[in-house]
Amino acid sequence: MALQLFKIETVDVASPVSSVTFSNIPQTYSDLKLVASVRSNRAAAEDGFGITVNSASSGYTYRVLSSNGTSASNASTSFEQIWVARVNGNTTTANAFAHVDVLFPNYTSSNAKTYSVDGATESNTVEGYITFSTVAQSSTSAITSLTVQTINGTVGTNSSFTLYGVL
Amino acid sequence: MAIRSLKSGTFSRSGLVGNPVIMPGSYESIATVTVGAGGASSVSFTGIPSTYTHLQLRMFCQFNDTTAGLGGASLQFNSDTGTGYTRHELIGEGTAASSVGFGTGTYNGATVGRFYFTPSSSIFSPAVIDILDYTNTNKYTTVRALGGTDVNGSGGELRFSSSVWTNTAAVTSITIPASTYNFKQYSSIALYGVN
Repeated sequence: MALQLFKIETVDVASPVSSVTFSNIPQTYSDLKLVASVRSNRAAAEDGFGITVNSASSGYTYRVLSSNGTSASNASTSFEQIWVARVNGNTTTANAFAHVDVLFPNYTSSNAKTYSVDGATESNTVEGYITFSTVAQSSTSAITSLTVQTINGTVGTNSSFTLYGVL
Repeated sequence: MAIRSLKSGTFSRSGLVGNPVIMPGSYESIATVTVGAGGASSVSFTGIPSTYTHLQLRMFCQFNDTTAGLGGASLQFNSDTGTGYTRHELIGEGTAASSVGFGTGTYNGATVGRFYFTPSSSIFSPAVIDILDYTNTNKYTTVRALGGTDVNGSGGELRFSSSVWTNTAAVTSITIPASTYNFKQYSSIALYGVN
């Protein structure tokens, strides 16, 4: 059987919100995939994009490969916690939204959770932030809820988030 | 199209009365183009349905040229050949990572990867391209692409690319010109709709 996606839920942001939560996630898939089109209301060129697993406020580590349109770099950290990608702030080109793609493999397992995140801001300038991240979350509980947010500003109007189950 | 029983979780190919209740998958093939003998200077998808949330292109291609090297393809929406496309790329060449960025005014298409061009080789290069919210007229259309080539010890390149088409029109057609080359025979480009 070929890989297939099944939409679990889509959230289209009609007016700014502080976060979006997917709860009661079915436990019947192999993996989860989150696709987001995001713009923050932070008065800056970019904002952080965060993912909270099962409402856990700690236990996250990540490594990231990133670029800004001029140079590339990489980093690892245990203290930025839920910040896993960068998205457009509201000083970037109007109508431009960042894209974020997240894969949560084996999300029902009783091992620590790991997931991969890639994202990119978009603007009509040289500056554009691309990030590839791998994240570990120390909890061994199955993922039953996910909360996504922009870190320093509200999630902007017309942002969209779709959670898929993967079989 | 895969169909899945809501009750048992098992798959079935029939939705006839008496069979399990079915749930269609969210990932559907729209069209696939395989380049024939003689090659092709571009590949186009027209009349794209507006019924999906996102689109995905999957490319497995090679260019044809009298010399060997790597070349980029681009992606144009709704026959717009102007330079209203941006490009931002994270590049790996096997030794160091680098980055480039361009606003509008430079390129006449979104970037979608790097493909091998050669007079004679069986090395085809993959690229997966996501086009988000392609019918949302409140947004510029964003393109995310991951693609690369390895030439079996003779070089290669991986690119993660992001582009935006600075136009809020719904996407109804996609053209993929092969830069200054031709797509070689057996190159394949498939378009999928994602609900």
